Amino acid sequence: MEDEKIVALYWARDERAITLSKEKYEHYLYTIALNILASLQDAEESVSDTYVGAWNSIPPHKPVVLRTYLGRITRNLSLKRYRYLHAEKRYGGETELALDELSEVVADTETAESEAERRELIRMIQVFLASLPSDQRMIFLMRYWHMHPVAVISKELGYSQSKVKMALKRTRDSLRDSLKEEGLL
Amino acid sequence: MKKNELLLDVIGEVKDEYLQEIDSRIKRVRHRRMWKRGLLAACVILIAGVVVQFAVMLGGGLGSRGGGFSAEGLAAGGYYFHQTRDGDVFRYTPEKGAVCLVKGGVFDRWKNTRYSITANDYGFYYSKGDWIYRIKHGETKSEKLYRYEAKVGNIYLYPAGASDIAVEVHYDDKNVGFHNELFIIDGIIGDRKVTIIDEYVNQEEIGAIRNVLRNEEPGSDAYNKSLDQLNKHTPAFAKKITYTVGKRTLELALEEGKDWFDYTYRLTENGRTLFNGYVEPYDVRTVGDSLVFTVGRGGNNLGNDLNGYVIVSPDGTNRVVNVPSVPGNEKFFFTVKDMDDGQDILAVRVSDNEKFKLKWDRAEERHVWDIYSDGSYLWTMGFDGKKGDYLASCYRIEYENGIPTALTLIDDDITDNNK
Repeated sequence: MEDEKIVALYWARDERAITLSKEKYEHYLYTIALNILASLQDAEESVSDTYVGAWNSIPPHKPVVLRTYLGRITRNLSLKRYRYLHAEKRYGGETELALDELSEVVADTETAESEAERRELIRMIQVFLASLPSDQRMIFLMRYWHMHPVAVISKELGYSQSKVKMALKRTRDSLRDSLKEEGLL
Repeated sequence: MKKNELLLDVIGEVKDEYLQEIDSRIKRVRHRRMWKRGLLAACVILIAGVVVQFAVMLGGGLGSRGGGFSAEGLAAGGYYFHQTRDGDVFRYTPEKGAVCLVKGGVFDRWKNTRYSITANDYGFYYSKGDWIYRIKHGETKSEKLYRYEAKVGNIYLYPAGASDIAVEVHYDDKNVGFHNELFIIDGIIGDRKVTIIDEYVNQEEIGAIRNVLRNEEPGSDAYNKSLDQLNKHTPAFAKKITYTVGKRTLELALEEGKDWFDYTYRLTENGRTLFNGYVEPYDVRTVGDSLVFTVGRGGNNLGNDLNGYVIVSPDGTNRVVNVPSVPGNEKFFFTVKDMDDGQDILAVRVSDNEKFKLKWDRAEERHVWDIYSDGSYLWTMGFDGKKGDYLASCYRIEYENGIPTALTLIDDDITDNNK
């Protein structure tokens, strides 16, 4: 079924909206949650909470692209769960690796997160991503949005793993420079 | 919250269009891979002497050197072809060196998402401007072969049998609508033979879906019609494919109740499973007298690695190469191993997967992305930090007592005729 119709069911408070969302996007959502949490049980909870999140937020929201809307909820919930579960201990999986890699861009230090800082960082990231060539942007987001391993990015985009690794390294370096220029480091 | 966690967090706020861009690209790559490998499989089927009814349309067989169809380089017809970032194309043989076949303007992947060069045993093909051109092997003169019907965006060219060429194109033109098509042209006279599928999404720009030309929702009439067409035209989508290797008859069959996109194909002989895992229904190659199947990722499990092979030989042996590699000959495949301080090139012995590190004079600033081999020579393609460009090098593979031991550099930069 088309997204538009599923969203209409959410608006009509028709629970078939959840069933149809599951049918259409569960595999995609599980991939995101598993990449982040590396645990089927935790991923199940995140995905399950995603539907609740969608139910509670549509309306008032009316997503044009349901797939990315749900994916975004799953990603946020999974990262939240990840932080809760692994606040103290070291942990394997792609999130840990992604965080390690991003430590090259910003120091792995505590920050007093203010809403203004967050907004500014979001603005800057949008500008930065818009400045990237399409291929580089896709590789970067597959790694740090979807948290896919390099092997998967390589296979899905049809590039060699070496190319993906090099592109990620260059993008991180470039992001670090941009953050410095903007005074956000 | 730590700063790196905050960064990871805010990356989640990116625009939808960037995520759709990824979805669209993945879909395209999968689609292209399906077709490419499906067509390759069709070629190999013919070589293997298999009777598959729909293969007739696709024509002859895969070139003796088949394989390497990636954008930057490809080996076919006894040549190695190299595309530069400037849109030049060079044709190379170890004996005669490189000849610049096309000077500039060939659509290239460096600036676009285009795979617009290909080759078969008959000639070399490329896209430039509105046209697909052909250069016969051994010649240097370009001939106009086929003119696109409208302004084109992304283009992919693949060989389809001995002389036909498959063209996947995104029309980027209001007059004909923004849509994708895959069709076959006759590689000798340029006639358009058949449009296999009008693709699914009709979009002017990423994220702005205007209209759906063909709804591919499983179960819909249009979907079934598409699938029907696909089943007729390429074995990659068939439920069962039969191969012969010498006197052996193999069957590659989709598991009951599954569809081609589940990737759950089993390879059997007389009802006996030859490989304890799934095998891809495409990318079947010939190496010597053997057939080489790619190990699959059944169930669409993206976490699995595709880079393994099952080699089925006429003498009754079945061997598995479980190392990501490229086929060289019947005895050895080749692979590049990434290390922190450089790269090794290894030969993988097919009989037992033992690896042999090859001595080679690796340029320190060179990072190899892809390799191509015919068992006698090995071409590397990669980025050279010192020159700031992507270069292809040619090496001769040295053997001692039948074991590859070293690579002797024949040409460091095949496109540099001033060395």
